[in-house]
Amino acid sequence: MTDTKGMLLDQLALVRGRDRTHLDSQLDAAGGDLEIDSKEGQTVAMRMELLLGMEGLIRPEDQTRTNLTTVQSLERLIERRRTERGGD
Amino acid sequence: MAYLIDSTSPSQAWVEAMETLIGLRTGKAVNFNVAFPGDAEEHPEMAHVIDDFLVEHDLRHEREILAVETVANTIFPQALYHPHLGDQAAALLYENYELSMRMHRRRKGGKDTYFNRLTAYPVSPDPTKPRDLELAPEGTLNQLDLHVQRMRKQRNSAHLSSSYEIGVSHPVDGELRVQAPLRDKSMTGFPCLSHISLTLADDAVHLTATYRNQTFITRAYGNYLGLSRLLRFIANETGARVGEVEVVATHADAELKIGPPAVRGLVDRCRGEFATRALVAHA
Repeated sequence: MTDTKGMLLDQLALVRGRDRTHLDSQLDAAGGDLEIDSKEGQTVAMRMELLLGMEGLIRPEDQTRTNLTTVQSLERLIERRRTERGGD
Repeated sequence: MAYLIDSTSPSQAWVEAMETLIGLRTGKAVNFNVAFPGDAEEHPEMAHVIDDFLVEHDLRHEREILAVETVANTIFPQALYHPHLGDQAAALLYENYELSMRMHRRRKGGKDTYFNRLTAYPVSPDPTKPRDLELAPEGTLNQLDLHVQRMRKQRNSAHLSSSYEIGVSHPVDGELRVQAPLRDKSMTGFPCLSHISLTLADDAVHLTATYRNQTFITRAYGNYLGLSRLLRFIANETGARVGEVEVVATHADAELKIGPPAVRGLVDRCRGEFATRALVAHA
């Protein structure tokens, strides 16, 4: 399965209009996880679905504040749903 | 009877508005006007106090407690706007918001947001008119972008002050509205009624928002923050200065049904946040 975290960070960098290196530095400084706004979370999740060719991957009930507002929680959610679908 | 609260920040304005409303027997008023500078400092501590109150009293809307930031986000999604991108900032905001709306609809069905109405207002363009098709190629009109572009030009040419009306509600939502965004493209004359009015005067842009009903605990403070952020976006994108926000609640409700002592306690706590901040600021 392709690197979910790497793809997710690429998409978050795109949403924020920043270089990936800038985001990686922020992530390191924050100890490996980053808080994200819930609208950013929705946008990144949608971008991930399009990139993976898996529209509908994120279910309505997945869109909770807990799932969408940190990099790690969003990564875990996408990984879980991809595994269920037999991703890649 | 009309009221005017003319204040120094959205937070101070909210406290003063609530003090006025809870001084009334019903906690309700008509033609309730609240004004504050659009570039005034925000006070996140006050949002936390209101959020805690919403949770404490389980004030849900359609099964969800809408935090102050959530309410503000429905008007302007601050996290998706990145001014450091310069000319590309607005385009990326619109693109990302459209993507977030696809996810939003999955959970909320056809329920729209204010910002989506500003950037993707549903219209029926006349296929025989090229200008209509240019403005709304997919049956939606980005009113915000239209007015940003228009205001940018006006800053350097005719300086028309009052040609920027943005509609939020749709006629089929059961409201009387006058302006039809795609039909009413003329920059002067009728109509002059709308839900958000932008005014360009002395190179500053001002915003007036009209609410047919505004609940002051569950919505008003988030509304103030969202409208301030929207105005700052418009000013930044047009190069104009940030002017004043005025919010007209044609019907304002302090939500005393929650219990007058509890509501008074909330206002006292918010006023306390200010007093503390003011002392720290002047120390």
